[in-house]
Amino acid sequence: MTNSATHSSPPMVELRDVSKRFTKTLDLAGRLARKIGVDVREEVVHAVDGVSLSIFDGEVVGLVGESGCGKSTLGRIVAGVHQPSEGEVYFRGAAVNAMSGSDARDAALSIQMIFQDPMSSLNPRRRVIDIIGEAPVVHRVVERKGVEAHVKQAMLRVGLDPDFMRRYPHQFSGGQRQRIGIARALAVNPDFLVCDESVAALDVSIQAQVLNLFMSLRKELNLTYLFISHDLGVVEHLSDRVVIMYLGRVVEVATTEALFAAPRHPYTQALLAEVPRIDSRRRRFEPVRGEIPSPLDPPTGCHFHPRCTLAVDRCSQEQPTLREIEIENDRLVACHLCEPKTDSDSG
Amino acid sequence: MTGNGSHPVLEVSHLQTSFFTKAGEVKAVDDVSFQVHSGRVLGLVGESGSGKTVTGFSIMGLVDPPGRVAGGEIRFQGEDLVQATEQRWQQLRGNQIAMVFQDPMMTLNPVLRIDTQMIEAIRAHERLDRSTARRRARDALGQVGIPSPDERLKAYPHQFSGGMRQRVSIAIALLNRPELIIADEPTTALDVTIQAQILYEAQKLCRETGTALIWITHDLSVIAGLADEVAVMYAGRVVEYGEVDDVLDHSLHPYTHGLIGSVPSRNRRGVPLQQIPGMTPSLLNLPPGCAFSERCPRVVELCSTAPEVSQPEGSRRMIRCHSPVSPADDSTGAPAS
Ligand SMILES: Nc1ncnc2c1ncn2[C@@H]1O[C@H](COP(=O)(O)OP(=O)(O)O)[C@@H](O)[C@H]1O
Ligand SMILES: Nc1ncnc2c1ncn2[C@@H]1O[C@H](COP(=O)(O)OP(=O)(O)O)[C@@H](O)[C@H]1O
Ligand code: SF4
Ligand code: SF4
Ligand SMILES: [Mg+2]
Ligand SMILES: [Mg+2]
Repeated sequence: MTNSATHSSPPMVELRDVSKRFTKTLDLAGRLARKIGVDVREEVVHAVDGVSLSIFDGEVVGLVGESGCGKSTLGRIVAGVHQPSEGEVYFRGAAVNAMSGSDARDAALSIQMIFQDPMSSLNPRRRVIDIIGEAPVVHRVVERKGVEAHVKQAMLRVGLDPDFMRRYPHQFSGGQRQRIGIARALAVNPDFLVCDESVAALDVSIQAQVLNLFMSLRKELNLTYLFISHDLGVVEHLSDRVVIMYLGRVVEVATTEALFAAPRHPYTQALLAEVPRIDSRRRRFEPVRGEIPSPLDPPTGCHFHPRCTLAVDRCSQEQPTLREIEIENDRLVACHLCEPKTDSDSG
Repeated sequence: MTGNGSHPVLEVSHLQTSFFTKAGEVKAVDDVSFQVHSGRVLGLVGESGSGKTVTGFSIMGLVDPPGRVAGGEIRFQGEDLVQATEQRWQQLRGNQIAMVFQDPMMTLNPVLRIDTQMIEAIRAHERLDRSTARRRARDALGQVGIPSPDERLKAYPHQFSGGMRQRVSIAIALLNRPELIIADEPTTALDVTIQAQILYEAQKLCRETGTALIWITHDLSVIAGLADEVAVMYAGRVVEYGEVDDVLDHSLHPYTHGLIGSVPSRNRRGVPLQQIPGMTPSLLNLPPGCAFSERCPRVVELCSTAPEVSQPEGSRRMIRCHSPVSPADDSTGAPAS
């Protein structure tokens, strides 16, 4: 279903060799330390490092990786919030940076983002009707006199009572605020939602409600998703295909079943082995060694080599390319030791 | 609850902690009882606002006005801490009972070197010369898996990653070899591989030193991997309490049952997740009787009176429910495949 060879139309979104760099500012501990005379410098972070990825109509692609590996940055590039430092983004086959004004506007409206913390992304001094209704009016998705009906429809769609449209965000619970965020995104009739840790702040019972909402919206509105999460259980439940990132790079991509049944990249294997699961009791944790290295100063060659139990000499010298390993599972892996399987041993 | 005959390190009975606010009395912890034994891990699990942190703070004597412990007993090695003076608390805290917080910067001072902080923490409770104290600090860092501890002692908190800072705060908790550690969501902000490392150290520590551990979390999967017993909290009360396998495989309380059912990995892919309807009620506005009644699929008439703690026949468990799930209608006991 996701194999590029079987798609007649271009991907909805395609990233070609995209990179993004930031100048890193200091955190509080760092600023305090500098105040008392400790030598701390600002440096350049390679947040996303040469990523290529295609997402097709109707797909749910899960994006997984540990904090700082570049998930949010990649999501923002897909949503047009960040411009890549290098590489290109294509929307339905057209390069986004070469688009005319109205095409660029359509592309921007088509891809909406939903964030982790509903409170910090909703203006506390504005009523729900304005929060949800502003963008559709500005972008002439609806006329001003039709905005109330439009907001009502969006609220009903996400399970909010439209009678509350004149309330403020703080008058809602965390789960309801996340629904407001979703309604705001849906109000401009997008085709594609980038969800960045959108259920991470919610309690388990509320999380289940919001995940079910995402899935029913997918069916009703034929939405495509890039679903970013550090929670492998959530990603496994929702996604058709999963992308694993490590320190700015994609290390493995595969259909969800194949990825969870038999991860191939040593990092994916370690990650899956360490996820606590409700069915594994009083287990002996045998954790992967070492820290996640700083993206300020990533290891040479394969970024995972200092922690990889299989690393060979070549791994510290040469960056492994992301290449197709199993065609039937849409599986790509970036590891020197993962050879493409032949048909005879894939059965 | 543990079957072994030893005296518990900690025995909490009918603990009641309230906040007396302008809007009324908030019963954050309401009639909570449990025990923790040496070398064992009690998981305290519940959604946000259920009273986990306030329970931990009550045991540490850290509840500030307008809150206070309003009833019950907290017996630590037989001594009732509810009666303890502030002076007694200062002897105990950080010495025989230690706490690890979700944010390690609650423990760490950003402008002091790690060695200064650790040596102070030791010498607050024991007359040791600096070099002996320093050696003990170094050993504690080593014990929680910090590489080259001698060098790291000279570092400031900002020079550590989030995961390493949390290890340092755990090392500080260990310094005076406490009999009881209360860890409040210490891995919630950390990544999977780092969380696994810390869980590994916690487990090892408990087994090797006989420290009793209370591990507070909202994550049932962490409890599954780490704890021996589990107490599930809802709206200030423990609704189910027993051995981990019993509670997670055959939950009796409808809330526990629903919570386990809504974990994504317990549901088949693409099929809607089981969900608990509605949301957690405000403690100022609880429904009469059972606090879960407005969300409960098993609610019966009797539920308009508050259920007492009971031990269902043939089980080793304590629950608070008029109409517990029976093993026969258990649909989430086994993982969906
Ligand atoms: N606006 C920014 N300015 C500076 N550094 C940033 C910015 N956004 C992200 N970074 C850095 O880029 C790296 C990747 O960050 P991010 O994409 O947020 O990762 P993730 O979402 O996987 O945790 C991190 O080291 C982060 O500190
Ligand atoms: N200082 C306080 N004043 C009033 N209510 C409080 C205070 N601290 C905690 N509470 C109440 O106690 C309840 C339990 O809080 P807490 O123990 O922090 O929950 P948890 O740790 O399970 O998320 C919450 O409903 C909260 O509103
Ligand atoms: S390339 Fe080498 S270091 Fe990287 S994952 Fe593969 S074996 Fe390990
Ligand atoms: S007492 Fe009644 S309402 Fe409460 S959990 Fe049990 S069955 Fe449900
Ligand atoms: Mg992020
Ligand atoms: Mg808490």
